[in-house]
Amino acid sequence: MYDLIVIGSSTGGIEAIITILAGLPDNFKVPIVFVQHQDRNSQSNLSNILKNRFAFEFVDVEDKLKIEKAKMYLAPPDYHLQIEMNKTFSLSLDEPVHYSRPSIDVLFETAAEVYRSNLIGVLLTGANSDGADGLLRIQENGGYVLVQDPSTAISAEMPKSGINATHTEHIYYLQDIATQLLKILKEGIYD
Amino acid sequence: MPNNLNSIEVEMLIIAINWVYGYDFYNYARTSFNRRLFAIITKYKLENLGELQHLIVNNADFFKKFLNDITVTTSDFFRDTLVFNAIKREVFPYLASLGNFKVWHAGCAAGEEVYSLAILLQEAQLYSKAIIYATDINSKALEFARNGLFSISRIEQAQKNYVLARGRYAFGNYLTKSKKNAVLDPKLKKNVVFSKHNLVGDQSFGIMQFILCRNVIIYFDKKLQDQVLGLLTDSLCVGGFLCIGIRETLSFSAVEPYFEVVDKKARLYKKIKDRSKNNV
Repeated sequence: MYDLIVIGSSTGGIEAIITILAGLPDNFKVPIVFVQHQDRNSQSNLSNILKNRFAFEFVDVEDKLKIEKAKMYLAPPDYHLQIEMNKTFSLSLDEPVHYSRPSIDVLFETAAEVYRSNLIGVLLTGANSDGADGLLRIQENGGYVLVQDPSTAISAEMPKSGINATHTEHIYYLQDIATQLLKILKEGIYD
Repeated sequence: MPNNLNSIEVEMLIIAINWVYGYDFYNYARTSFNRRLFAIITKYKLENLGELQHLIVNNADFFKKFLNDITVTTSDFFRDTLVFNAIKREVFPYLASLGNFKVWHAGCAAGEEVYSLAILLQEAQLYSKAIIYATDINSKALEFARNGLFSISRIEQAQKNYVLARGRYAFGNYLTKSKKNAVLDPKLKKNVVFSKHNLVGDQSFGIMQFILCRNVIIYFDKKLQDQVLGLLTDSLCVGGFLCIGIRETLSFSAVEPYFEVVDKKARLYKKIKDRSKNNV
């Protein structure tokens, strides 16, 4: 049973996120956390775009917020997003990882520590290798990992790094990712 | 990345540090604390936490380095410019109505925020009435702050932020540049006292009219946040202002009832009443 989905993306990520969300039902219950690499001053973009487009409840993460069902969490720009053992978020201003803050690795690794095999990790389009180590950690801790097909991604480097690190065969075209998530969650969808 | 930091070993290290040096890290948010421990072990090429603990306990000079590494903070000039605009709009008129006033940057890191506010106070002709305390647990950062020395690579972003914070002149007016570094105008620190202070455990040192504590309490767990926010609240006069990080909050904190929200986005609050002596 899966209690959390973590999704990391960079260049081309906003369009990819929109495509995936369009394939999920309105009453989707499993919480999702998004780390989308963004410019410092463009938080409003991702948050506003998604809020205007979808009925899901999007939350701009604040320090110490508790993770709840049926919510979709957006990492704030220029902080690392971490998950604590008590399933709350914490933030930090530690050094960028792979030149990135928020770093997908930081979210994925801390999530893997807490959620272990109850976790799904998704790596999407992006132009650097942030997220590959984190995806591997999720896999090592028993979670399910999934990568966007690099050949049709706007930016192939991130998903390619993820595949190289994990040797996962769960590689899907963007338009099939939502269906695949629903399939593996079938036993885990509440209510 | 920390997947081999045994949590029992971390607890033992925390107990040892508190026992020997009196610094209590027990209620720091564990995830970032562990990540920093791992980075320190890597930096000094140690084998494991046990070795780190041994070094710390037996070598006070090493502990000083450790303390600086475990509390490192980064900051920018005019970080989150909307906050500085809110400060000018809401806090400056209050400060202007006073005679002398006290400002406390609690967790000042290398001084970027201190100098940013000093510049704006100067431009608003309030600086001469200000007594500014800039404190941090990290002595290395304090040293940089005292010197007003910053890497040239930071200056370009600082200049952009200064403009966004609607600075009146040019950020360059406040600097002397060399090839690698920039030094802030020493006049900006004339009214600033830089001092070592540990928000966990040290006492309040006076009553302030304006306290800034931004992106500090993110490193603490909820319990410690409440304790530190209590210290800040008790150090602030009624009618005084508190400013915290834009992703931090007073909501659901122990001190929420003592403040009214002045600017939510900027996380700027005004103290409306004192905590009674009976509150712990």
